[in-house]
Amino acid sequence: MSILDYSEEQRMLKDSTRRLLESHCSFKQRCTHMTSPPGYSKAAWEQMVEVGITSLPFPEDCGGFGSPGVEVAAVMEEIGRATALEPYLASIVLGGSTIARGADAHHLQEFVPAIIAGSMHPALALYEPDHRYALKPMGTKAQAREEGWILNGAKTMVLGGDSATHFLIPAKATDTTLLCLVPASTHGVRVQGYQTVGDLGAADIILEDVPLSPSQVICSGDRAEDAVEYAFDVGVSALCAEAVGTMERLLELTRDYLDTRKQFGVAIGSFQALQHQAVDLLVELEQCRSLSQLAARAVSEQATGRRTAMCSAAKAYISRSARVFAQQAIQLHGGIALTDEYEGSHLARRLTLQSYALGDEDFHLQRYARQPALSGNNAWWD
Amino acid sequence: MQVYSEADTRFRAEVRAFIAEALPAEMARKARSGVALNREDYFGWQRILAEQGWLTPTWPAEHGGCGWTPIQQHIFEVESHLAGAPRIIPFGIKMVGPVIIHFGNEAQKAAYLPGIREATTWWCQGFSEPGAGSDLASLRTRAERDGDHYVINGQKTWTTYAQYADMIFFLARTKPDAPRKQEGISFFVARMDTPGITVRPITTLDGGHEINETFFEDVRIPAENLIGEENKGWSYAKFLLSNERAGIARVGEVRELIRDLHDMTESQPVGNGSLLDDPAFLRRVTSAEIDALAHEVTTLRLLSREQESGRPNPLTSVLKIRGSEVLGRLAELQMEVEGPLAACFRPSPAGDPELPQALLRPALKTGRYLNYRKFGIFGGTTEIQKNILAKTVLDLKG
Ligand SMILES: Cc1cc2nc3c(=O)[nH]c(=O)nc-3n(C[C@H](O)[C@H](O)[C@H](O)COP(=O)(O)OP(=O)(O)OC[C@H]3O[C@@H](n4cnc5c(N)ncnc54)[C@H](O)[C@@H]3O)c2cc1C
Repeated sequence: MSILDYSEEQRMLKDSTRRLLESHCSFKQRCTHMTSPPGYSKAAWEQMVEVGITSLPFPEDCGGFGSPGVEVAAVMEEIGRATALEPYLASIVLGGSTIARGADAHHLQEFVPAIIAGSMHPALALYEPDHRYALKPMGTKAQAREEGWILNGAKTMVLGGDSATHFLIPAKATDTTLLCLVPASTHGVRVQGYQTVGDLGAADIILEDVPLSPSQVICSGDRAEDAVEYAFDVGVSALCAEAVGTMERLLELTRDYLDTRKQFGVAIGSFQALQHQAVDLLVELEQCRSLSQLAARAVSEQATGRRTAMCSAAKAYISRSARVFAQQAIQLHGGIALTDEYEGSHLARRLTLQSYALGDEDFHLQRYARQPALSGNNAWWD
Repeated sequence: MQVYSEADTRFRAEVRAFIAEALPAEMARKARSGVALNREDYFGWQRILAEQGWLTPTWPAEHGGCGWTPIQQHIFEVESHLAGAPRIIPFGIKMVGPVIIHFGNEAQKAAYLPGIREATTWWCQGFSEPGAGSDLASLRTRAERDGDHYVINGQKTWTTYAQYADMIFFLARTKPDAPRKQEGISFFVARMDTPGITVRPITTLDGGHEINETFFEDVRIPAENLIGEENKGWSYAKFLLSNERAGIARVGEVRELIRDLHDMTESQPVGNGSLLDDPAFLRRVTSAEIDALAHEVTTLRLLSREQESGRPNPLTSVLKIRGSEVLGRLAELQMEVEGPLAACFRPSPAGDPELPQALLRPALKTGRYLNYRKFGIFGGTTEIQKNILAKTVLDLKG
């Protein structure tokens, strides 16, 4: 097997995910799902549960497969190809990994089986208004009361928030950070759902005097911060793989269009100016694929050391690349790629989401630069 | 430092004062907000300009022109955008109007020019077809003479604002067996309510509706709707497209976007400061601004050269290429000001029918970023402009 590539089993997982998505989330089907509640296909979601991919990132001792990196990447590439709408990234990867990393044995047993079964949708509420991509809670505060806490604050651009059953809310208490699990139906929680540019659902959440029992705190302090950073990295790695899948599909469509569209009596793909631009996309895709694979391995191996560096390296690169890729692919098509009827324009929009979700280029460049520098003759991954 | 002449500087002051006085605040507010404008929004402003005699500045005086030089037109465009005026829709004023003035007969001038000059008739452009984009001359829509009518059959596409249009000007093939495909094309006009013309909206990737498909099915139009001579349509179209390219630097809009980008960056809170405190972001804003500066000065330089020589300049394609790039970049940066909120797009079926207040602006910025991909495509794609420059300026033969 070559270095940094999928194994035989991982390929099989990828192929079966592709078949699942082709039969439940074809481009035509997904356009229907997109416009009716809940904004994705319940049938497709049930199939994902059925074939077991919802268990991939969770530890084996609570029913998971124990592979948040490469196996999740294999699935996410397919999700990216299909621009699937199901909340796999939000509920399983981001929400699920936060709980998997932060919760105690009791909570793990209580929640993880429900997440794997697809009935519990936890959405990780990372961002707050006016704090851009900051991962630490700033304005969301937990005030101690006799028994438990009271939560106040606001979160924004919560992926999967429009259809979540629960929110994972990092909040500031007097001298610590709490990671709270709040059912979406709790009194005082106001959810305003909307669609992102990649057609995935998201929400703003307003928390007004939300009562919290002690058992709703998943963890606190360093452990809470670690859980969020971990889930963020797992999510970043997954999103990078998703972008690779989206680029791969968009390049296929672009290539086929260049080959079939005729102007001036010839296929436009015979113009060298366009051939070279298409090849630029190929060159870009291969860089993204490499960094995505590296990030996925860094996540799988679970060592915090280079994990964050590799995930941020991949996302810094892909954040920029995804957007430029979309722009160039549209340009190569001409007018057709500006229409909503064309699959390629949905892929281009998804790439825009992938560019800005979970940190943009600037954010990840800075995050990468804060990690320990390369020392001596070490390779990046040592 | 003096770039404009004394006269042009006075002209700018005059334009500024007029717009400040005449542009209704509500109209400017709506246009600046970035929401889609409708027929009345555009025509409302055009009628105000028509009353002032400023709507058709490039037309000959006898048809209502006011004799502005290219530099003065440029100044007007910039001032209009900075003030937030709705942009001027070019199809009547800059495209079909000059064609009718140059190649139409007296009856056609009398029939069509007043509606353009007074902003009462909305025109749309039916050139492109599904099979004829960059290769416009391969168009297949047919016009067959039948007594004192022509019968039109075929399909046009990408017809901007056909949904608002009263009239369409279009190209159709009148001599299918002509030896060269450029020969045998004629230039027609038709009322949009002629039986057999149907318009189907095309939703663009930003969710907007500004382009359409236009179908012609056994459409009978009077023979006097032919402009100029039969089978000479290609040369009229080339004349029209050369006018279209001249306005394509879009410097007015560039200036508006730069100014707004500065304001947005400065007022975007990040923690206790603003986005302006972020050196990485500031660097990108500054770099885009310098690109815009180079573009505007290049535009002025080429315009004044054109003004002196009185001839169109093939370097104009530089303005089209760079104008598209700069606008695309500025729209992208305005979207990036919003940070994670840039990912917001539209209401979701599972959520509220309206977006939260704080997300209205990000959603508009993201929509506009997507929409602005069009600048590299219409009016001659970037690649076609590069072909022109390679051939005409660099003298490289293919
Ligand atoms: C928003 C919008 C509004 C429009 N409004 C109107 C309108 O009102 N009326 C109207 O008639 N038309 C309109 N158009 C059509 C527009 O003029 C065409 O889209 C344009 O001419 C390109 O044609 P195409 O889309 O078919 O792309 P194609 O010509 O098929 O081009 C596809 C790709 O091939 C490239 N290419 C083509 N030929 C060559 C070559 N020789 N060398 C190198 N590369 C080449 C192009 O650059 C492009 O990248 C509009 C288009 C858009 C997007």
